[in-house]
Amino acid sequence: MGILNSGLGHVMVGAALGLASAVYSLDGFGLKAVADNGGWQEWNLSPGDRLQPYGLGHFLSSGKVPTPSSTRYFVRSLDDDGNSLRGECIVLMSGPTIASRWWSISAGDTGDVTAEAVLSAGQAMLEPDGDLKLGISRQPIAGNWLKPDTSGNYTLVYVVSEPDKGVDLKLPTVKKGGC
Amino acid sequence: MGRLLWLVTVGLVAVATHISYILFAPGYLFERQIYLSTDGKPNNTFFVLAPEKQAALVPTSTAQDVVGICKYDLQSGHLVLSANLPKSYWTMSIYTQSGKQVYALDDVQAGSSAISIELSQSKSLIEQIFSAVSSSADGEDQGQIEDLGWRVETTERRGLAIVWIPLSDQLMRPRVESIIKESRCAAKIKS
Repeated sequence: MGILNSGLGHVMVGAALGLASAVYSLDGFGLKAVADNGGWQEWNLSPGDRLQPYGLGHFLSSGKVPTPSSTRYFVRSLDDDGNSLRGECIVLMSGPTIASRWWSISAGDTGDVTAEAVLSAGQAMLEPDGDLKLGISRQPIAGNWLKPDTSGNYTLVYVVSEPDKGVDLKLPTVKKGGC
Repeated sequence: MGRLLWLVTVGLVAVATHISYILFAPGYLFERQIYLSTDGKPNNTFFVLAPEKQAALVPTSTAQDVVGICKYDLQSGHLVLSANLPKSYWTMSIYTQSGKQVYALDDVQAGSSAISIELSQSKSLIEQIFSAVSSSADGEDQGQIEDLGWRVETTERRGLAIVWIPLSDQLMRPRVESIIKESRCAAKIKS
């Protein structure tokens, strides 16, 4: 009887460990850094990749369809110096946009998608050299401006739909401008 | 020795639970979320999602875009999705219930703003063998081509067809919504 109880206890401990590690790993295990682009990361959805089940599981477990194969979905929650992106600070994003059929940049963390700030291809004003300069702040900023839906930590999402073939994947830099 | 055995047991159970959860739980959670996101709307009907629901379901979309959806179930046979779309950038993606993308189409590839896609479930290996045997015995012509746009085979009976139309201005939404609402998703009528 003692051995049975002990066995059951060990099985339950193993199951709890497996469950906890699975839930935790779905939140970030499928993320991979985008080469030469600082803090930008991308969910791994490449069929055949050993981390793909985690990337796929991340979307499905949060009730979202995985991003289509024709779309790149970049995320980051830190600036180029490794600081958390916070709504109470001014964050400056600059660099070229990726040549594509469509793109959008959003900043938010409350989960209320209708409140998330979005700047898309049809709304942005680009510099004469084609670069995008974007200010992210709770207070209005001249030029392209995004207002995060929180004064706390938020995540930047850069969606690029159908990028031109062979295009250089250079993503914008993200720097803190002051708090 | 006994302690090592229990440690190995804990490790094996942990690995088995981890793998099982990663492979099966997300699909189940996704299915449940689809039901909630679509307010329990019936299968095989096309409808436009509300802004707060669409961005929660389709991560590439924002609240100002338009997203149309058809929850398909091929239990009663083939399905025809006839989509009416604006002459602008749009994409259509077809997913299985487990989140695998089986088809993608956009405005340039389609070359038309009115498209029709016939959706069917692919045959299992056993069905293919039986089908090949019976057709060769009957001399049946399997290569008939019907004039019905695109044909897509999915590996699972149920899933989602999603049309995403990104917009740069929320004011465009009512007009685009009225266009896409003309779309239909229904079982194929046998002639």
